[in-house]
Amino acid sequence: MADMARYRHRVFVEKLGWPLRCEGELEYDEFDRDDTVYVLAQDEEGDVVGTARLLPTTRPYLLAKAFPALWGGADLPCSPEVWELSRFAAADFGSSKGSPLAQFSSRAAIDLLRESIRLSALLGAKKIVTVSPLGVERLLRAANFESQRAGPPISVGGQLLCACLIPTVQAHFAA
Amino acid sequence: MIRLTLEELLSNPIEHYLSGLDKSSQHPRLACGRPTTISGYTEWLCWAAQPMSLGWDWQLGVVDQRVRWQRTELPRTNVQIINSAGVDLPWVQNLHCLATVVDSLAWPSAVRAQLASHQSNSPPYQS
Repeated sequence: MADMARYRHRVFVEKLGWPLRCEGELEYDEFDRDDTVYVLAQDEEGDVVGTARLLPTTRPYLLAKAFPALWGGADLPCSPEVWELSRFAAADFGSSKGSPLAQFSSRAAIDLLRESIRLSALLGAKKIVTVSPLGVERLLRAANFESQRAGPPISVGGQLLCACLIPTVQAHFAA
Repeated sequence: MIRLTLEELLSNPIEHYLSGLDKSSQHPRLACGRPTTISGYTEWLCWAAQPMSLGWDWQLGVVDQRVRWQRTELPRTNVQIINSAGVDLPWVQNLHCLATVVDSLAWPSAVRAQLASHQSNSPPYQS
């Protein structure tokens, strides 16, 4: 957990500049609970090079608390068949190739997302919801992931964000 | 997800919300003298009881020796078109249907106007 929290701090606080409350160089928040599910990517040395967090929408989750306006005025999901994906990153700080901020343009990011979707399906999810910058939503499409919006993108802190629904049964998985 | 028939969608005005350039396109003079492609995104809204959102990627480039604006992806949206029986179109078919709506919009002029506004407010490019 500490390695993951340290990695999250490097990505979200140090590189992306998110104003998150941290414990030193460890990034945790109220949604890191006993029932939170994590997906980690590790390199050959065992260092964390990717992270994703899955939360059931039947308990408090990030979108509902921090970004309800992204849901377009409809009732927020609260179902065992809908899980939330957050704190997603696949930045390999040990790699000399590409930008450490590449979230979806790398094979590792696509694999991490695919595994996150697969795991959420095992947990009973038929859809996962996630708050994404507009650029990430575009990259989802470019990587052939089916996703649907919950509402129009909204500017939050100078960045356009939207809530996306990703079905756990993806057409491209069957290819 | 907002469910409605195509006729219901078309009965509401769809308005330009915002547009932007991809960073790699922001200094086209880097390819001065050679054909180049400029790309970006655009977002449109249809205000009804709940806001409906349509966004897509676009590209401005040379096609058949002419400069053309092209939609390069199916729309990203929260709109689900239903048929007369109230049944959802399959998602991909839904996106293709919405793409025909997008292609009927005078979106290039709106995107061009917004980009021109951005350019006039930006400092001049310096090599």
